[in-house]
Amino acid sequence: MKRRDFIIQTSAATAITLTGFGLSSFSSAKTKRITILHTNDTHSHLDTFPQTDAKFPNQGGAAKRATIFNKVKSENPNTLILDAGDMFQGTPYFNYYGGELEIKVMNMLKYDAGTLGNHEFDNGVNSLAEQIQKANFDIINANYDFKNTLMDGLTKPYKVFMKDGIKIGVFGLGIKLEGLVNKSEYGETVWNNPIEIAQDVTRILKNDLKCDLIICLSHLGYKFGGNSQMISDLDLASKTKNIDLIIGGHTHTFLEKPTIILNAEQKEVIINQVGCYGVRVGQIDFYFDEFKNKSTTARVINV
Amino acid sequence: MKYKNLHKQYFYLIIVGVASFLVTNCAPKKYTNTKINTTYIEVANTIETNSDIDAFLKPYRDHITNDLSKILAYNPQDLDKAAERWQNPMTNFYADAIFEIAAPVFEQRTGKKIDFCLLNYGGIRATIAKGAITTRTAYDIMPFENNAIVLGLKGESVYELANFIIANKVAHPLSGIEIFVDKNQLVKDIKINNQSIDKNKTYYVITNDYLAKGGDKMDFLLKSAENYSLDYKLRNMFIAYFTKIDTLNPSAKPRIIFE
Repeated sequence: MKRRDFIIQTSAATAITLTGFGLSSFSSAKTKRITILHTNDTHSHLDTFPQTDAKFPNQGGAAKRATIFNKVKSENPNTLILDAGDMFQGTPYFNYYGGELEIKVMNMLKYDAGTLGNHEFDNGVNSLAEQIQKANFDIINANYDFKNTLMDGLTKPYKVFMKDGIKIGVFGLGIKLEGLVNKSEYGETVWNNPIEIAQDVTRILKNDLKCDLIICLSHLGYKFGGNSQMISDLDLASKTKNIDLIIGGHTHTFLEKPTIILNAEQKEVIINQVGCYGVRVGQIDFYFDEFKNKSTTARVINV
Repeated sequence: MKYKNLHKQYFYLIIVGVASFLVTNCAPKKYTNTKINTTYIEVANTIETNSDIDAFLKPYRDHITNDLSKILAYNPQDLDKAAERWQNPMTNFYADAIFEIAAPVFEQRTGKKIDFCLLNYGGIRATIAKGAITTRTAYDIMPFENNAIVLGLKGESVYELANFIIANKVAHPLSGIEIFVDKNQLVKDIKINNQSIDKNKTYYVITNDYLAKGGDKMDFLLKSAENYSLDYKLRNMFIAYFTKIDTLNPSAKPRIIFE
């Protein structure tokens, strides 16, 4: 009996070796890297701030942002460029040209997707519809119901990107418009609860579409004061599951480093935001390895 | 017998090995996220300017610059709404300027006087740097297309307004009004023109149409019995104010007085 056990073990070991050998001959096992570049609340700041600016002297500017994007993309073609909303309003470019230049510059910067901030509604929902038709990138939002507006059909609740065989699900969430934007501007747009919508959309992205990575583009705001009834990114992260990264906006929050929150299943969610006016770009690199036994793998997050 | 059985076992294991080889290699591979690195890239002066983007923007930039570079006044100090926790020279200037420009317009049209000014802190979208104030400065601090509006509010609604500001701890720009707050952070008195207000009397507040329509959750403004649109954009009122003055000299006088 003893001898037989020994032989069985040896054979099993051989089989494993064979598999290992086959793997390297079929296609080499490698670490895959997906890079996310992100902005939020750029607010029509297409130009670099003047040297005399009291807060951001010589900072920002779309032409410099382009240089950063191009450099990162040349280092890793498996890069997604995302924006978390409020691309409109804040400089005379918006007053003069109504958002067209912001969109066209984002096209030139090769954004892959953006979501809607409250200031996207500043010239009214009809004007927004007119402008975003000029975008070459997807406008992603899952919790505004636009069916009775001219925006109907111009946004997607989510989008799945394939980069180097990795499936990345991106969905978008917008802030409650009532009390923040006048009804005369948002019209018949209906706001739905972002946490409920996130639960539905992440289930689709994770269970049905089998995404390896799920990213939420959020214009909800990082956090609100004690008595506020507003739903923040911190609330969203802790009350949902399957989200890996929340790219936030609205509150113009300059974080010292990305925040890590445990979700409803006690798994880490990263929340990131890069202040405002395009003076900073966020970069997050996700490394993927192939494992046969997924449950034994640990994840390291360097913030 | 023993030897034969062993042979079968061995063969079986080879099959399992081949099967697992096929599963791992020909089925889609399962990748697991093992590491995440994060970093911030500052869009600093040292970063090269992309010439395509710059060339695209240039004609638009030149046109706007040509329109907005007229010098209207001089500002001797950097002004930032976030400089102090509560009201400060920036928020004071913001409300004082609108009050000053609106008052004669409203009086001429209606024969009534504006009592005070309330604007929203979130509406101040930029700092004002020390140096020349141009038409562009007015766009920077007031990029929105909002119009000025005067509302007739009962004294009791003015109390709601004061309670709202204290409860929410936001330094909304105020002018022409003094709110006195006790040690328990409760409003104990409100004065307009140095007189405690009467809860039944109507007071005229100059604000913007965003707040007047319920923006920033200032629901008490929806209770106004009278409503006069000045048909005057706040940005143009700032341009009128900057044109009128030589040097910007904001008041430091507090409008919310804590015990």
